[in-house]
Amino acid sequence: MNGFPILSAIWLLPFVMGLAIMAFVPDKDSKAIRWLALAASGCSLLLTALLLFHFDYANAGQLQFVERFPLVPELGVEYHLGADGISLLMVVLNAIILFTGVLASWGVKDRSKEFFTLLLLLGGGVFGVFTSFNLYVFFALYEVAVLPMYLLIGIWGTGPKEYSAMKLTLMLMGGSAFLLLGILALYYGSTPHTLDIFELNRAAQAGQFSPGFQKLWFPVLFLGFGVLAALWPFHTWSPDGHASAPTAVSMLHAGVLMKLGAYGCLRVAIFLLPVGAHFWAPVIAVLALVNIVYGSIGAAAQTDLKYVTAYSSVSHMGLVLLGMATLDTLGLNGAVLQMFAHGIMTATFFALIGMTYGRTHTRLMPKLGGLAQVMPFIAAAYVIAGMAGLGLPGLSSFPAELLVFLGAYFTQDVFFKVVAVIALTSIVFTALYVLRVLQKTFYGPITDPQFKELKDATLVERMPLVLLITVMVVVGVYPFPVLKLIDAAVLPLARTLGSLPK
Amino acid sequence: MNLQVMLPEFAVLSLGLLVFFADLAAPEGASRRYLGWVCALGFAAILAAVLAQPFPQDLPIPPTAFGGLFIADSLGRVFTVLFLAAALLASLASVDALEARGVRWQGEYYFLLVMVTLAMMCLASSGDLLSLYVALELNSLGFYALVSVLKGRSLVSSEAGIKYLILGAIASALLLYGFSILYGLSGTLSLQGLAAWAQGAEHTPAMLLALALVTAGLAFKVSLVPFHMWAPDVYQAAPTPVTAYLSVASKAAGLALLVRVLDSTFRDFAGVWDKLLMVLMALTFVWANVVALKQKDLKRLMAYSSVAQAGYLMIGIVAGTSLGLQAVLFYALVYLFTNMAAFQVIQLVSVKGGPELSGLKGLARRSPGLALILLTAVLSLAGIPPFGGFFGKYFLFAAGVQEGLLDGRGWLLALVGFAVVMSIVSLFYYLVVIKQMYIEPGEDNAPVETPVAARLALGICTVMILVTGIYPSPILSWLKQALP
Repeated sequence: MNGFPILSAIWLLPFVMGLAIMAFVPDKDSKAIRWLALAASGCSLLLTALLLFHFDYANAGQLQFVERFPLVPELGVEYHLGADGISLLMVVLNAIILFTGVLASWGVKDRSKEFFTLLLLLGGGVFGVFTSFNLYVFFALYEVAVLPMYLLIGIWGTGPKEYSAMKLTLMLMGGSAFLLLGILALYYGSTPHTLDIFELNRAAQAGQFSPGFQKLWFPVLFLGFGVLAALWPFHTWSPDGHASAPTAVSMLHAGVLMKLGAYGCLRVAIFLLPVGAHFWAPVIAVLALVNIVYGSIGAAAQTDLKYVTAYSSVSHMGLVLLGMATLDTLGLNGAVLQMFAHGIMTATFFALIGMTYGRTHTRLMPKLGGLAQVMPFIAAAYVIAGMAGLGLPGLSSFPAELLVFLGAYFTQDVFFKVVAVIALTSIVFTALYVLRVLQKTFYGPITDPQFKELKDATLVERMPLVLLITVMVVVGVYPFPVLKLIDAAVLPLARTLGSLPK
Repeated sequence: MNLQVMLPEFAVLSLGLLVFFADLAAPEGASRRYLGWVCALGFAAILAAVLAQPFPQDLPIPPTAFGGLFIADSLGRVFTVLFLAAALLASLASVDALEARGVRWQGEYYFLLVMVTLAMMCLASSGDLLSLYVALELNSLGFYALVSVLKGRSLVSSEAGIKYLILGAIASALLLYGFSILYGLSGTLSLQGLAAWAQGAEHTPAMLLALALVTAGLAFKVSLVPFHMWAPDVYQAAPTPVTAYLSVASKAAGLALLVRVLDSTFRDFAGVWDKLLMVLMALTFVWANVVALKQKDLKRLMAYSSVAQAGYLMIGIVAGTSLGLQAVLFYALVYLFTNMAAFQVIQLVSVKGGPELSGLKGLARRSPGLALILLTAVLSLAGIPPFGGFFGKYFLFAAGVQEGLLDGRGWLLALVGFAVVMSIVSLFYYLVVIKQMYIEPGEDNAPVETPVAARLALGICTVMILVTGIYPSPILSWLKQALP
């Protein structure tokens, strides 16, 4: 890329634009604010496309577009950006969801300046985390990405928003407190002391982290990130948080931020402490299984559309974690693809719920009904997203879930086979809650005469939906390029895990 | 005797005399507001001159004055810079705050402010228990008067002054008793002599008692639980610029004493006093953070917050490494700018409406700039990136984990873990402050008046909070020069 710092540009663009909006644009000019936010997220999307174009797919397992600048050399702190296949995929995911999130927030008029500033700070921070390969910067940007959530939910949320915002922030920050300790332990456990993720991986492979050390610190790091990935029993912030958050925030949070947690589990905990990962894998598998089954049963029991989707996220993130727990190439591939697929799908869900709620002013299923008659476009999009949710072939979740289940089933371990079989039962519950939502909300007679006046999606609303569903279908029908990318990037990880004595 | 090494101290003394005579010369009833600017300019000039000097060559023996009563070493220099910066910001904060509260004794106020600064500078550079104690008393007496400067306007101000005086006297007595035992055992008052004597000294009960008494006296100064009792009342009742100055400078002076007396002189007895400090730290983390959750008054909340912050600072002292010491000094610097910024905003907001937490309601609408600065300060105190408090805490925790992991001091490691967990509790009350400003709607929509002096102080603080958080390298290398 001829030395152009494209990765810095991608994360700084929304970040700086957010600050610029806050500093220079007058409060009243919500139109200019919207357009500037769209421009920033659009430019990041374009730069991401450029990134895709210039990426060297033959070496997807290696860091590309590397930028390095020492910040505090005596403590190993370095501004070190780069992208391998996994990072690239996550950057694409974030770019799509940030862009569609801004479009989905087109109607935000109340304190729009602060809203878009925070949204852009959040999006920029997430870009930064996915491309940081120094643990200090990684951690700092991780917190920068999580904190705007407090105000975004607290100010623009619905329902018990202040409670949800506080609960979410404290739980996620509590998780990150453990991360801080884990990162310092990794730093002082390695010789020479380093915070560079790949250097630390080399240290791990050279046996610098004793088994005792790994068994102690792996759960600290994995749980620290696991809180954000909604690992049971630390998922309780997620339903409340998602239900209270405004549309775009739910999209970004369920779509990307939860992936930050899963990404951290993979990139830091498993990659750097492989012996610990092997030791704790059965425990994680059990927790992930609870996630999957409990999440889907929880979703089936809810009547609020947002709670249904939030619990389904808990269930689907369980699949990501189960894929990781297999510590096997197939399962890891599935986990990463599921991160992407779930991000796109859940963002679509939350965008649709936002549109429905904006019209009907209720998200309670008993009060809704027959909406397909008045808003066929939204209904059709909801059906497609719902089908992705239950893993219909041809949509992006299918290959991902398939890989996770196969990965778990084809490990040598009988234990994982049992786990895979139990996890499969969740598909029944998933079908139940997805179809129930579709039937109650969109089909049947119209329950409220006022609903007859409702309009279908506007052009601004259709754009994000079309973009998201296109990605869902393309990846679902032809997942191989994406899988090749993931596979190459998972290879170093699998090598780290596989080189261990069994 | 080389009096040149005391030039900064003499400069501050001259500034004090200048203020004193200017006050005398001015006719009665004339405005003395300009004295605040005189102090600010004076402190700024002295600070610039001190910063321009290279660090003194400490090895083998640092330059001294008055036969070793005063040591002009690099550690003293770093603290001098801290005190001067804090004094500069406090003067700027006072210019309009005193007018707003209608303080009658402005000439005396500024004179005391300068003298307190001088006392702390001498305190941080003293090389003898005697000069140390005299400087400590000069500092404390100055603060007793400053705290109650609102006498006649506010009853609680006088009450806080008395309370501070009595508790402070008890702490001084503990310290002095400890010093007297040390003198009785060793026969010397100079810190160097004590250090030499302590190398071969036995762990006699008298020695342990002396160390315990000294630790308790110093814990009062930096306000560790259970020696923090004075802090909430005094912080609440004192004029806000004094509270701000007290919370940063007085704490830094306590740190200087801890480093000088315990860390440098009684290094061989580290096993004794660091256990005491660790118990105090654990108590501090629990008590300060939990009690802060319930506070309705902003200044009381900040008082408990600063008690908790003192606990974090102790991690570096207990670690006892040069990394730990650097971390302590760095965090003290960050804490200075952060707390100064927070108190400055609190002062401006509470001119009308008082310092209740609910007074912040709707601040984000009324004065977005002030709200943003308080948000920055509060997040920095909570240790959230990209602000200085995050790197400072990271640095302190790193020093603790290094000792805990590589030197096998498991208790220290556990304590750092505990500190990290309790910092999440502290996040709750910091978020409550943010909630008041950003989420709660306010009744009053008029922007908060922000005079020039306050703007200047806030500007300096905000820039420093960001610099220390995003690119701390220059400041770290400055510290490294001082403490290789």
